[in-house]
Amino acid sequence: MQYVQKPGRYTGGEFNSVIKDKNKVDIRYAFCFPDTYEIGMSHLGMKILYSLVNERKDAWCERVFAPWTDMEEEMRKNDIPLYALESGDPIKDFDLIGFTMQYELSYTNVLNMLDLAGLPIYAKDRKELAPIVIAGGSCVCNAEPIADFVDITLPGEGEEVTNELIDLLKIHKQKGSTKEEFLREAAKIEGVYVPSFYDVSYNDDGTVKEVKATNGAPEKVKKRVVKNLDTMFAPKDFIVPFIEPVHDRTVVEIFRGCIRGCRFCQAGFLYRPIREKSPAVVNEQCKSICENTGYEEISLCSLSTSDYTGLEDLLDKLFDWTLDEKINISLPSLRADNFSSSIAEKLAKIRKSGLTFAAEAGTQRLRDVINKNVTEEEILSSSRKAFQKGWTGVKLYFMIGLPTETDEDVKAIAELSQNVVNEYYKNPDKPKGRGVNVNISVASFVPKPFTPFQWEAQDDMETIERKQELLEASVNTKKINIGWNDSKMSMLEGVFARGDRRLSQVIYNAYKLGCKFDSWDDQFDFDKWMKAFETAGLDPKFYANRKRSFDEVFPWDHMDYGIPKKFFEKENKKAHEGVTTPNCREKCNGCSANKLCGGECHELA
Amino acid sequence: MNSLRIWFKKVGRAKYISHLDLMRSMTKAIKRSGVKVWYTEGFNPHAYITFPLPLSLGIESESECVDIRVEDGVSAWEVKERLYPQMPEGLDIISVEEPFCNAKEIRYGRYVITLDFENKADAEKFASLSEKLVSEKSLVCEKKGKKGHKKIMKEVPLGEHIFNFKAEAEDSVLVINVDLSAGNPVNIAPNLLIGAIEKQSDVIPVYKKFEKKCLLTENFEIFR
Repeated sequence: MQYVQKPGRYTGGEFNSVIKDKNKVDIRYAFCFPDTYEIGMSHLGMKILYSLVNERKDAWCERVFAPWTDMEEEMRKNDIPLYALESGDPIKDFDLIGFTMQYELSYTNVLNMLDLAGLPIYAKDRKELAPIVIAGGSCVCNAEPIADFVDITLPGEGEEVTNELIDLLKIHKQKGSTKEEFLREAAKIEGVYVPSFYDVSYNDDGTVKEVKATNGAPEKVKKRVVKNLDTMFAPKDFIVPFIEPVHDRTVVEIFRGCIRGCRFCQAGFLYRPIREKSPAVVNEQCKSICENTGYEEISLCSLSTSDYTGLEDLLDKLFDWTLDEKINISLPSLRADNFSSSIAEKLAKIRKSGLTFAAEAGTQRLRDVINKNVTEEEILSSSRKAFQKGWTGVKLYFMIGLPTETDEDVKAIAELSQNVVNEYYKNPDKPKGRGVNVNISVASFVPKPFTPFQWEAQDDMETIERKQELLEASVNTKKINIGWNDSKMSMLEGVFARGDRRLSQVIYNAYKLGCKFDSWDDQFDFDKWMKAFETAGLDPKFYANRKRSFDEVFPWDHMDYGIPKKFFEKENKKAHEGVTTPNCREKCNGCSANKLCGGECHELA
Repeated sequence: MNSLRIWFKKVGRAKYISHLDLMRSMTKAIKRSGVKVWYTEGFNPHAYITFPLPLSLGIESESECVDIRVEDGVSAWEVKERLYPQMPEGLDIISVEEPFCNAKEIRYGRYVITLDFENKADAEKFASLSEKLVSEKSLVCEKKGKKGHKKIMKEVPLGEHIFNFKAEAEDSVLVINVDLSAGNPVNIAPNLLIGAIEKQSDVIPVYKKFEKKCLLTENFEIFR
């Protein structure tokens, strides 16, 4: 261990990590994050599920991260199998191995981790009842590309279904059931998908013909949602890492779901319906986590912080104690259209962190197409307010490659950014001798399942690169810095996001060729990926750059996230007409997600 | 405002915590303890915490120390009681005292180095070689240094920095007791010494363990 970078990634023993007597628990659960320690330890979902499972006396949840290449080399050289951080025990002896799938480019790491653990990579080759390999997270809304490797996926929210699955596995372990007997029962739980129980057939053109459920599994797998966030399990403490994770602070959720309906945004549809936590509950949770961790920063987490109805109330409650304790509060995901002066005033009391506004597109026409209901004037006035309160820089989010995009739309990104720069110099009270910094982050649009754009063709790499060059040429000031996404990575992301089960072979090939940590610039090897496609006889363009017809059967059609395909189709047509859809608080648009909570939409009630 | 010196162990897997990470862990432990510490009054107020001498990664220690400033009326006893349960595994509080020496008085570190060899002969061979090299005062180690802003490797002669060297082999295990220059201007970590000897030896240990026992002042008196 002396010879690897950052040994703190692999030692465990952090404050608040949970140590149990392995002889006194029935179920051992290895929670795996298929990326480095620093990234995984920033992930809120892991913190929640770790605490949730460890509340149980009969189960012990431990953490596992993907070892960096230097550590992997040492482990393979010395025959050290992948182990869990708390006990140091090999995870191949655990009962459950759970992966959280946050981004498509971590798939090869899952395979590599299974191999490092000493387990067969294909689910069919793991014959015993234990370990059962499960996967959750936003990627499993279309788990087909990894369907051959995992035994179970958990579409939706994990808080309740995790406990139910542990209960079930415990019974079957005591009964001495076979893996198949257990999986048959598991498939009956709402929010559990057993990929091996579904037969997929294909048309001659390569599209999916039909997906048939077998073994008594449901035709449609419904995602799981937690109905009440106030009574939902929430951790009272977090593990305090020794080495610095990407986000080193207290994170507390304020609500799930989103009222907005931006047509490119998968999270905005996947996490519906909207459910808020009350300010009093959030405040108590922040207090308890700060006390138990010693963190001096709280980040309020949601898809759109300024849409939280109790925001001002919550900030007042928090300031009551955080100012004395010198605890800082950060509000990510603010919207440019409702960033009020009073919130800016409140934020100005505490240490200044960065301000980011998501404009997403350069022209009003394109913003209407994607239903980002923000006007240029709103972005400029929010920037103005921020500059007046003393900020000397803002960050703007944009996307290129959106459906119907023209060169004019791309050039408009530069114009809008320039107008923000101009706002700074219009401010008479700007700090003397300090210039402004406008950082624009320009992502490449990737069409995702369960969005109105799920039928759209993704711009191919050449088009994206051309648009990137065009934008770069349109910016003519050093006050604007541009950040890009790698077009090759975006292409792969697009392939796997809307991919089918045949892509398992591509992921396997790529892993065999040595691909891992694909979201890391210094590890990503595009040529190997192309070889992996070639060997599997599959064309990435078929998945990424092909426009689908409305009657095509999608590989993920047997997943039910509460919003019917018809709704997305209606939204897609409106997009092409340039017609916007109001947010859920202005008008119910009939997405029917609220039926998941057993009711009508309460945003309008 | 009062200065207090917290003495603690850094053993087991905690030896892999780097200095910077230790600093952040300490800050959080103190925050959790609720001890009223003094905050700096600058633009970014933070608790005042300083380590008289940072410890290299991978070395265990029986007596590490960190200085903090607390508000008036906070006793050393209170700090110890409150901080004790907040320390991560392997970082155990030994005592909290008012500082007796100034950090500038640190001159030497006292170490115990345990080396495992394949067999007894190797251990003895390494022991006699190291005694010879130390007495000749000819050892040189390579150390990371800076030249302006550039990071370079520089050679540091060890001759003047090794004191009270004693190597005893028992079976295949060699135990070395040694005092090495510490603090400013020259700080020699024990792994540098062993690395320098290894370079001239045809047998090398299969396992190495480094432990710091205490810090010493000018007259080899214990730094408190």
